[in-house]
Amino acid sequence: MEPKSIIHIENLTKWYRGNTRPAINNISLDVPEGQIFGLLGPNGAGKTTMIRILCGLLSPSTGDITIGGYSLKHDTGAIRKIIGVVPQEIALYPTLTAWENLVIFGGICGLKGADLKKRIDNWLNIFGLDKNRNQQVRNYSGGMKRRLNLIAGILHSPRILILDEPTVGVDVHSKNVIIENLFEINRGGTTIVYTSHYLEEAETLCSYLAIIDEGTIITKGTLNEIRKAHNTESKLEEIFLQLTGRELRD
Amino acid sequence: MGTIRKLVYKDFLVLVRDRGGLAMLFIMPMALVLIMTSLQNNTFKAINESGINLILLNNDSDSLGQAIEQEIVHSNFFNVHHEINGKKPSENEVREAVAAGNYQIGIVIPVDATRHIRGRVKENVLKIFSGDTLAGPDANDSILIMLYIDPATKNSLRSTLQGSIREYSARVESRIVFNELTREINSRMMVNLPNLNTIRQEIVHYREEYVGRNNRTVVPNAVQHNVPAWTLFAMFFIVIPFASAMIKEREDSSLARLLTMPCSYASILISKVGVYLVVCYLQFALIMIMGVYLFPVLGLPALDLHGRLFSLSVIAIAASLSAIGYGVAVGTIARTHQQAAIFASISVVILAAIGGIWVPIFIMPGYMREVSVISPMNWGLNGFYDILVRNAGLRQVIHYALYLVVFSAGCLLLAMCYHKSRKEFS
Repeated sequence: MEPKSIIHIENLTKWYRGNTRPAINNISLDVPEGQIFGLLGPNGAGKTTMIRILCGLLSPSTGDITIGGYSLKHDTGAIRKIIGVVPQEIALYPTLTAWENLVIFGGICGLKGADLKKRIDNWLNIFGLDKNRNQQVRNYSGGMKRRLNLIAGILHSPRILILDEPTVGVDVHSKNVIIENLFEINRGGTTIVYTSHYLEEAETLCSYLAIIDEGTIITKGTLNEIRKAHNTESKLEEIFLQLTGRELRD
Repeated sequence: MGTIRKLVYKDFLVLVRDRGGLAMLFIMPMALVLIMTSLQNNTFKAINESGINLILLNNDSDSLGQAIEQEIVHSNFFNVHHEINGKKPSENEVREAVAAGNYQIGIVIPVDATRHIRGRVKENVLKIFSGDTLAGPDANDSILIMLYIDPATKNSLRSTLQGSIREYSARVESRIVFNELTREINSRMMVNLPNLNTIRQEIVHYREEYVGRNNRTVVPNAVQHNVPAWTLFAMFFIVIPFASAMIKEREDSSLARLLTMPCSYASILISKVGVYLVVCYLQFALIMIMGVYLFPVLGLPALDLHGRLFSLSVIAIAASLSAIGYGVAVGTIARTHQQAAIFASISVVILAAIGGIWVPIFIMPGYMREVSVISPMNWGLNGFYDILVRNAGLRQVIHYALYLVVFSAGCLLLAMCYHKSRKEFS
């Protein structure tokens, strides 16, 4: 049986002002519920634009998107309650402590009181930041900031977690903790939409994949389905290069 | 409400953690108001309290020279000198000393000026009594008092001085005329009339009164004029840190994260406006406290609030909203810190200039007076002046507060529309 779709994208197009071609060109896509969905593509393929549209930070030029049964056009408020976003940038307040950042972001997501504190304690503990909870974020290492950036997106246990390059620039230890916990979060029922340049990581993590290039989805499905569609047993990286070409991208 | 509370908590923490920035938000405006008021007060004093150096060469040993000298000394406008390097100067030395900037003004009263006047008057009186026609003024016959003026001296001072000397001379001249007339009448008519100077009296008098509303007299001074003006200017400078804080939040993606949460752009703005409104009001309150309590300690006149703190607060809050609204618009529309800082600082200076902060509106050229009404600083300044100088109540100034709030709302609306368009069309 086909898994139920939690994100439904239909004929999505996005033009940026002054560009001669669309950043997203008539994409239709379904993200199955409960899966870890990897959106992969070279630089400038349209991944970040797609993520920003899904988060409600950009409006599509044309097309419809439904997230968790809510229309992105009409029910933005409802969608914001069920998604969690972990941007590629460290989207935290550097002069605030980890605890203060999480109290603020958790509070805005509707958490409060003992529940909020318990969740913060739990995640800080899991990601090894418990001892640094009262330290200002500007004094954190890159890996610590990246882990805290993730916690801020998952604290309220969203139904859908959108991750844009969550492991970029972190050491192996931090990366392992992040990946392990993403599996754990997914096992709890959260659908994860994930973009990355690390194809090996995507191959390990994602149960469903789509490769985007020049604003168009060029292949999608489980890794096995993609291999089958392209008659290959190669690793994801080889398939990726085969589909997107080997020339440099900006 | 919970969201707004968390946002306010966040904005408050971000603000107080930047201790240097916070200190500047309070110390710089207070320093600005203190310095500008002291400067203006000293300028005021310079004119009123013997601040202007004047070298007087009185070559006339009679009435005219004495009268002018006495009037100048007693006017308290000038610091009068009679010697240069310990000796009486020549006219040329007076001229050179003024040209060198050692004195702002030099006055040379010619030799025998009084005798000259007396002779001329006597001649005319005799002509009148003998039925002859009086001759018109003759340039060769008149006396010439030289005024040497440093080019750096203000024109208004020169006019005042000319007017005063003309008045002193006329007074001396009329006294001589009356003396001569008395003498001539007594000798011709064989009578003993008292000196006509005794019936000469000033019939026209004038009295100055600074009028305020409600029959209350308000005496203006440098403090009453400068504190509101520079307070407003300082309050509007909050545009720069405010816009910078917005751009920083946008650049480090914290704003993007907030916008993916159950939190609208409007609530983000409301929180910021609320926190910075408190900052602006505290700035205002500290400056008022400084004006009332610290200025007298520093030798400045105390700021007189006329018991109108509530009315002043209404205008201050409206002006703060206006400044913050402007900051929101700049912070939303500007793409970089540099853009925001340059645009905000220059535009605030322009708004201050056309709003009458630096130069009073009434001395601006006609077209500038019309332009001045578009500056929110002009509305705030009029509101403050009406309260502090014209003794107006809240009802008389509420329209200024309304203009300021509408300006703020317009800026916020512009920012929200721009934010929406960026989301849709960028």
